[in-house]
Amino acid sequence: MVGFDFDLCKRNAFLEERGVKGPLLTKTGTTIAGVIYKDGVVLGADTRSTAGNTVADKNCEKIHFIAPNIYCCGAGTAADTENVTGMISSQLELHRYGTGRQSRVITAMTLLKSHLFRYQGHVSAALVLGGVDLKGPHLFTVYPHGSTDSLPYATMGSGSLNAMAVFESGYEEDMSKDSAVALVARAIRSGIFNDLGSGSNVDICVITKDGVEYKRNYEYLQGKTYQRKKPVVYPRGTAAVVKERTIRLVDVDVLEGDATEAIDFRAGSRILEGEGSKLYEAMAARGLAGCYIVPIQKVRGVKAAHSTEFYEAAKRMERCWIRLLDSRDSGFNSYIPGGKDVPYSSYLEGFTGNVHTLWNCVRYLYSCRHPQVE
Amino acid sequence: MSIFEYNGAAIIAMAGKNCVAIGSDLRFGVQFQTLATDYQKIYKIHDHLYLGLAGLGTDAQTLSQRFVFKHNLYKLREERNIKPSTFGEMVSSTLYEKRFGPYFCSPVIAGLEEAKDGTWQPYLCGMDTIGAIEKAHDFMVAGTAPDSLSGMCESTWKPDMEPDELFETLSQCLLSGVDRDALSGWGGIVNVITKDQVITRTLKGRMD
Amino acid sequence: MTIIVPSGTGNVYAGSGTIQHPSWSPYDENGGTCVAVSGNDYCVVASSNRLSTGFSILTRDESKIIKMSHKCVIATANCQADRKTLQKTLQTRHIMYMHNHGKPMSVAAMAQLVSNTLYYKRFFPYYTYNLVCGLDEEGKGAVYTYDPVGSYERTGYSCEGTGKDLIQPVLDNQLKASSPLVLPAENWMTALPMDDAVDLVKDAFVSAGERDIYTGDVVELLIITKDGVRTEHLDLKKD
Repeated sequence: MVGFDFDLCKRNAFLEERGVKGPLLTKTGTTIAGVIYKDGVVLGADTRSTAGNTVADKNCEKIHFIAPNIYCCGAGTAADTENVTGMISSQLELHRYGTGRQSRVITAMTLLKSHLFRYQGHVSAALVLGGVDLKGPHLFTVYPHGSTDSLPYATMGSGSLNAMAVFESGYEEDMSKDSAVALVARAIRSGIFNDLGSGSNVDICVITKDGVEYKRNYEYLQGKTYQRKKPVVYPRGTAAVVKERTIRLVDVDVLEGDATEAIDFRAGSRILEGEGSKLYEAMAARGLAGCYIVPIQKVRGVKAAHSTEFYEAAKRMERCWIRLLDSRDSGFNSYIPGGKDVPYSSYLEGFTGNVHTLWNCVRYLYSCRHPQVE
Repeated sequence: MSIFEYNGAAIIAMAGKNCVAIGSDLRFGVQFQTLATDYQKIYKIHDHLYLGLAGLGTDAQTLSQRFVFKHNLYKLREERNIKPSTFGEMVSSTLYEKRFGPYFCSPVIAGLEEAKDGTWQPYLCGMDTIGAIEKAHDFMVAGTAPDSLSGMCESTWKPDMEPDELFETLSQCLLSGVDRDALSGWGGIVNVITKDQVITRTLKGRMD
Repeated sequence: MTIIVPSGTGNVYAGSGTIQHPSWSPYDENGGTCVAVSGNDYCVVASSNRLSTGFSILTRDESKIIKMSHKCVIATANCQADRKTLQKTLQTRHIMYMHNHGKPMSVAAMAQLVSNTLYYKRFFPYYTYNLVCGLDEEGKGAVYTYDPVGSYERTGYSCEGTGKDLIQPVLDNQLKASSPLVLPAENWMTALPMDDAVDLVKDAFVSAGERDIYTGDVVELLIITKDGVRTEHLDLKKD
């Protein structure tokens, strides 16, 4: 069971007392509905979520999974419907592991209502719960305060009256699947077109004892009605750029040349890619003594003279560490004063980062060449 | 005054073709007084995952630190970077934990996720203050003038933009959007994330 | 300068000093968006035809634009009752003007009249957002934009109503409004060819219709040129 954390309540209440308004929550204005038909249950929902007068999400999912034989439509505060159904779903899954039996709809309903009742309506989830279990098809509505109804056809949300009007005129007992789906879709459409809190598409979920058909975007009602004849194009350089910085994330780069070319490294000139060992081989084949720049988490080599120029070049490459290496088998040791026990921070002047990461990278490069060392 | 309008912010994230971009304005203020013009609201989680936090500055900083901390623990346990979608769920549950005393922050998450076919696909999502996830395939906005930003995005975004075009489009949305908001602006910063590199550009904007 | 925007409920300027029941408001917010873009020899005015209150649609086909003459129209968003009264008053005044002067009002004169009419109700305002649009004396497009109590300004383009926040930055971006403070001074806008302006306005409404729940159903566009006023309609989403 989730435990809420009330740490910030006092602070937030204080702010509210001082006349500061709280934030706007995403609501699902919503039309949700369900009917029981001959072989099972049909659930339906629109796909609009709103924050105030604006649409937050044009195609959200309001039919939530509870169990393989149970689904639940949610209206109200989006976070609450999402989490309350998720929590109950997880409890039921554990229960199934424990008992080895299919979950019952009434169990889900009871868990939902006891959670909602505990929070006295502050968890604002209005639900239409439907499913088929050993006792047959069931349909419930669950209100935010924890009250429930068991009904043959049900609606919830800001478009509930629109949808209910359709049900009241069109519902029949023991409908076929097709006419039940058509009726629910019509009820949801009625909400979509006549209630401003509902909109976009129709989602449908059909549950029978043999399984579930989740028809996401069963009806896609309307797209944009106009495409610009002259679409806006912003050519390169439209926005004035004050500063630009590129961080390259490629695995291995080898650059031939001297220190001046190392400066051009960012421009991407003459880059070879490959594994760490290939990098080493590439250098060895050319008989080069070189410098390696070893960036965080990645291995990258740049051949250049080990000069102050090189350090200057490397400094421009943010996030990089530098290590001097010799491609002849003497390895890096010849350039590391005192061998590996010496702290390398003196080498790292001007650079940020972790000496141990550097050391690991160097060791990785070395071990590519000398597997036995590792 | 809403607590969301105390410091001011504008954040946009947009998806392109195998790339994603996220940008914010640079103003930090206390109500109508501007205190800093180099305050970005975007936090890096790892190379391919960025988090934008709009809302109350103090909460944004606390949250960003908590998320970096949680990601560090994740890396120690899993020895890999977190997937953007997983991170999204983590942010959501962190926020919902405080359902009745929320952080006054609405996050925008932008990242690249490796798909089964080996391509890197954009992942975008946003949330309200209590963690109701809103996934998007196109763009996501947050801040003190979300309508201004989303109006621009709605009319300029198009599918499959290349990194350069994505950058220009996002920049225009950000710059034009914040010009109609008194509490955000003063320049902007945009990160364009592709598989191989992250380009961070600081934009010149109106300083009024 | 402070632009006064009356709040919808609980903040009632009755003027008489009587205490009214706090939950009752003489105003209703009926939504709608108006946009106007002017050019060198034209003016495009558009408004959505949805009339709504709360989460309900009252009608999908209510024009919010009144044609005063072949050179001047007024587009009015929000409270329908106030809009009808205001537009009726203005039309009456305009007819009287024509009887007196034997010609229709210029856009500039109409703009001033609208301002006066709005300010006349300074302490119980018409809860309306207005745009006065047309062709000026030189035949150039003109757009005047207002707050509900009559503060007004001539601009090259403007947007009012529930979709304002969504559309205004798009117009800014496309029409390049530079700051009036910029030195050397720049034109307040780049005028588009008329077809491009119509294209822009249509797209702005379709985009706003995606996000603003009060903008939808149909957009009515009035295109004012020296040849008169042409009307076009564009369907928007109905949800």
